[in-house]
Amino acid sequence: MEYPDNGAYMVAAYIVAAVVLVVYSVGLSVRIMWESRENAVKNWNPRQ
Amino acid sequence: MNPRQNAVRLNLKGQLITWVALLGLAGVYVRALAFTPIERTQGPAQKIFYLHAPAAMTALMAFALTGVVSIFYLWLKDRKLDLFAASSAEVGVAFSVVMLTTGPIWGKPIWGTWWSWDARLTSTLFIFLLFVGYLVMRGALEDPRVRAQYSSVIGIMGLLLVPFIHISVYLFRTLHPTPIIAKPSAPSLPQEMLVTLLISALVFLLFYVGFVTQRYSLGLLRELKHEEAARGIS
Amino acid sequence: MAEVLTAALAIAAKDISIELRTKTAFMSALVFAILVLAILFFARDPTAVAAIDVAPGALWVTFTFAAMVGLNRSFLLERENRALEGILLSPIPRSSIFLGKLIGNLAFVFTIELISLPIFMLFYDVAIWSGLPRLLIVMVMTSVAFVSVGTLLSSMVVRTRFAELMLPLLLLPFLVPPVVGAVQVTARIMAERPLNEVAGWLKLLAAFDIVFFILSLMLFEATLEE
Repeated sequence: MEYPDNGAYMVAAYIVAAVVLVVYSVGLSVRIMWESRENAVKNWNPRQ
Repeated sequence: MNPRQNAVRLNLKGQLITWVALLGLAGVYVRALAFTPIERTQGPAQKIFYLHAPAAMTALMAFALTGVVSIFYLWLKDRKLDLFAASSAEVGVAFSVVMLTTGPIWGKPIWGTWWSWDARLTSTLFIFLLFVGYLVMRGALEDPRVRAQYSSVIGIMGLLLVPFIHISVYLFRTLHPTPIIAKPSAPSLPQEMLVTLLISALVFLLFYVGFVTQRYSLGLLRELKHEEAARGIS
Repeated sequence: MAEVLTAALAIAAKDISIELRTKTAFMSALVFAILVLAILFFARDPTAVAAIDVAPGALWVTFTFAAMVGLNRSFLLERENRALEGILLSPIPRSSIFLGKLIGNLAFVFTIELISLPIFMLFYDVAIWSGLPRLLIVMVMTSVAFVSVGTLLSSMVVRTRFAELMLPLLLLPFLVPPVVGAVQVTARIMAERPLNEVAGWLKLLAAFDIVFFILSLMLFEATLEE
């Protein structure tokens, strides 16, 4: 059987989707790590 | 157990779910790419559908939940509801990015154009932009109570905006008919394709639960930090 | 009901008299509208696109931006000297505050539109005298849509940082249906076509007005709670 030759678009979309999901997931974890450090408040001086 | 440990523990649960979802995504990729037949008229690009459609469904579900939970916030004034609404909105924006990037990549080979102003695409674009605005506004408000009230108002209004934008685009199209374009025939999807789509939808749902749980615990940690800081100043 | 309206009219009268004394917002919105109309006239390839083809779009883009200037001012005005707290302390129902602000904004926006309409007809050389009553009806319907959502959002954005930037960001998505509808109807009116060709758009505009007026009125109280 013959198919339209558009496999490159498929590969691109699959990469883009995975990148977006992984980047968001990593970003979320980094933000949580930043926020949950024990001394987060001690080092955070609003008057500085 | 103190609230901080609670939040951290909740995040671990979320992280676990996210990891399972990531494994599931790998499974979906293997199944969709290697074990699902190629559609005859659209070719391999049709397989983008297995990511695009679940991402779209999850994003819209996320925004709808933000809207519905916002109604409950205005009624019950529970700050947990506000935190959930905000988490769901942010995760919805992330899924919208998947939807709005995979959509044009599918559209180029199938429709012949990267972007088409079709009703669904247009309404999701505007609702995406509105919720980006929602998140920006949250960032520009300091008082948590005011922020919660205002966010709920935007969330509820967004819920009612969707049908209006949808009808607008529909009316616009009927005034300016466009050539008939190939569309995936969803109802007559063969069983193998349908199963792949359903698995993918489940994986995206799992991502949603994992992400929202993590984002929710991030919100809890931020609240705690502000409370501690407020105590430290006074 | 009567006292709600009386109080609302008092607030609207206050806003209008402030505006009549200073005229700052009014003049800037008007000059802004004329500038946008002029710029949009030149924002095309004159050999390929006739001015009449872009006229309906230009008119409504201008009205949208001019309305935004007016709506931004609406509650910014009350932020000075914490005037809003004074209004909140007065023994009137909250819905009067919303209705008063809405009437004031409607007067502002509609006056700007009425003055820039002849300038638009002059600049774009469209003599739509026969369609004028119908165009005015569309302008009223669309202005109600702009102002219902705009008044509510304006009351919220004043408390944010960068209030002037936040209003367009939040308001424009809501203006998509009314603006698209108004452009379609205006184009038909200018082409002297019967209005039943755009009955769907008129219904959409009317539905938008009703839904978002009631919704904004209901949600307004949530934006004031201290």
